[in-house]
Amino acid sequence: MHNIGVLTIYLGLAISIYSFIAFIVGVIKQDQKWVNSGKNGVLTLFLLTSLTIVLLLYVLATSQFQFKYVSMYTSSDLPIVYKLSALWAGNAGSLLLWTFLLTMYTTMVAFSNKMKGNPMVPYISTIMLGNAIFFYFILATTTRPFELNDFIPSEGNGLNPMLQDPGMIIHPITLYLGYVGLAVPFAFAIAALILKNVDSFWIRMTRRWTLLAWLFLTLGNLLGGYWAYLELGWGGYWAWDPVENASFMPWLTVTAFLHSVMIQERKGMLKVWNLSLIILSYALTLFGTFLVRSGVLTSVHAFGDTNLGTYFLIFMGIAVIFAMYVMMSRYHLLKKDSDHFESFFSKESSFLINNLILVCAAFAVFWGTIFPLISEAVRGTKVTVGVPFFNTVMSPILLSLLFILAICPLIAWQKSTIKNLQKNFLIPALLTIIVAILLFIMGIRTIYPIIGFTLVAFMLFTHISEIFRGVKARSSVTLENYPIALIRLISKNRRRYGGYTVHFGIALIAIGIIGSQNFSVESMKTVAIGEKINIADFEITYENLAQKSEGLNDIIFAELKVQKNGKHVGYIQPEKIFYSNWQQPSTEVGMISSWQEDLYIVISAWERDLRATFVVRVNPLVKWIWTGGVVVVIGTLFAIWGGRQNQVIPRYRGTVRKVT
Amino acid sequence: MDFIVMLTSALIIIGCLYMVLAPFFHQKILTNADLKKSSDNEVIKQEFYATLNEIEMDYKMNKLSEYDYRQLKKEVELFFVELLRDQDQLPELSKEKENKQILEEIQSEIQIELELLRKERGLKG
Repeated sequence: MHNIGVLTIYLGLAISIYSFIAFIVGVIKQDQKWVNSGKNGVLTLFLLTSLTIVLLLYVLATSQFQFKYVSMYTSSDLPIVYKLSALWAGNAGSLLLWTFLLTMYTTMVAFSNKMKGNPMVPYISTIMLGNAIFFYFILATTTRPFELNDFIPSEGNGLNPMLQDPGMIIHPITLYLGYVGLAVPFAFAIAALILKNVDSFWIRMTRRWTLLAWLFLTLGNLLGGYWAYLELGWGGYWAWDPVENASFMPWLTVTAFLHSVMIQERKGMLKVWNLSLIILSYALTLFGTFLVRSGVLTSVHAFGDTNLGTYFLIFMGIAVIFAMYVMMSRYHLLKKDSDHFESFFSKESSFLINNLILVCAAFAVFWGTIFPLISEAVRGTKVTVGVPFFNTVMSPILLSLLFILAICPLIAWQKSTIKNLQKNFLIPALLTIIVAILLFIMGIRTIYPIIGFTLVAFMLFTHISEIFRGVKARSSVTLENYPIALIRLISKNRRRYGGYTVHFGIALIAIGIIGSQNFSVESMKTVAIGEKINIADFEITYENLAQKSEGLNDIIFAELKVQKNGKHVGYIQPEKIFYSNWQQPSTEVGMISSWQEDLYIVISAWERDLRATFVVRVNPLVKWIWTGGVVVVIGTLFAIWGGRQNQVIPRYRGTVRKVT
Repeated sequence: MDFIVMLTSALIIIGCLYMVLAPFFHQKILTNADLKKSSDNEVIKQEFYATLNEIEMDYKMNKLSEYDYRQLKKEVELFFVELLRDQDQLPELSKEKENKQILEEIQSEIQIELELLRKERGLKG
């Protein structure tokens, strides 16, 4: 098994180098046989990585502790699902997974039916193979998945208990799919530049790829937050941890990209900006990986124990310099047919402002993340900026984004007049003022929540108004009744209404963030059995403390009876789990969740006389965040799937080549 | 056991070599006739109707004044005339005459298509 595993990796390295060269020779000699050989190399590479993955999964599942990776991340008592998910618990496995996804995407592009006969294919494949060579080089030299132990241990170290959670099975895969997915639009963009194809062909061809990558990044971030909320037990879902930031930054820039490409598609503007955004997004995925692998920053999930970070930094540098060089060499072409904004009051302008805000947000997160590194380089001591910095900077940014999201749908493309704006905004604005007054009457006095909730309400009203007026306009032309007009309006404009659905999801997430960040209450109390803890409207009675065994693990749990405003609402059972092969116990949060709030209880310590210390939190509106996430996913899927526009192949207008 | 490993390794290596070398020994390679054609006219048509549709919807939803609506509609029509010319899908005519003539043709074509669509659905005009 060891020999075959190692062989597949060395063969993978050799074939990725060969295919890279074969494509270049094919392009230089304009010989289709060389290009076809490169394409077959891509397919072979995918088959080889699939075989490598299967082999590693097999040795993980069968607990073959002669392999270092297996003994480091699994133990024989681990449930099979966690044995398999240990594939991405360490560097070697997760980089192998990355390579597998990369070769899969490369194969899909190289053999894509829509790209059949397109001269960009060899160029795109070469760029993606450049990435594959790097990953294979790492797998062959630095983090070797099939490395053997000097002696065979009788038992493995086991999997970090924090990773033994269903959320952790999906979270890394979704993030990798998002990260690697961005390699596709990046490769298309660079290939288009090389072939002097500066129109929006590459954008149209990669629209679904980019949306899919964005969807996976969104899912990865949300699942990460959900996991942190339930498993880490500190009461929050987002700690501005460097690794969280690493996946959030490309999310922000890709969100900006998804909006600004619409301007290029319609008006041929912002070509340099869009290229810069996709290069930046791709570079940020590599930067994120550098942060996770290098261990330069302290993080919950950093697994930096090698010099991998340096390799990633070097590779990122090469990729960015190459991409910037290609872009600058085509700068005159990119600027040639660029149009201009006709009016400040237009959708184009609002998209541009939205882009600037999103890029500012990405920069703020980037600055806060790397500040410890900069401070260490300048002053010699690592200064971490912490959560208050991020909250202070990001709150006004979130509010500005909500405002732009609110006004954007009611502005027309190209030109809007003040008179039209007044007419369209009147009802949503009046309704929003009523909401603001109601919020004030309900007792909300602090400025951020009032502004935040008001803006969310404004955003929801403008979107509902936009949809209602769309239905009315369609109905007046087609004589369809309103429900039919609504269904047809939405299904015929998947991109627009999928986008609006995503905006609805963002509004729900914003409600959850504003509520939980501003109105959470926390209490830490030591109580004896029968004593009560009062917090907000809740009365919690500590009823029992007991111990149970689950497999080789011991679990200490408390039973708490919960009443709200005098009414019984249920029982909560927070746990501490002690693992046979892990020093640190893990926390299992006890929670009662509703649309209004989460009652969140962690058992922190206990005494011999059964007195126990609990951390109790009431986190308002957190459920809205997860619900918003689901709505975002539905909206994105709606925009990606189906629709005639998605089946259309745009015309390639770049340099013509004999080889494709 | 070693024999099985060696045999498997040899098979993998031979399989890989076959895959990458096979194209050099194949007589038939893709020609332009085999290539996937872009759905060019379809794209232009779709985008044209989508843009016109959006302008009309913006107008009906009070986002545009009547003057701006007519102006924009004309601009979009001219833009697509230019695009079709770039694609060599229009006959060569003198530029001035051509723009006017083609614009009129396109406008009447749109009118006919819209009326046909409405008749098909049994809608008011």
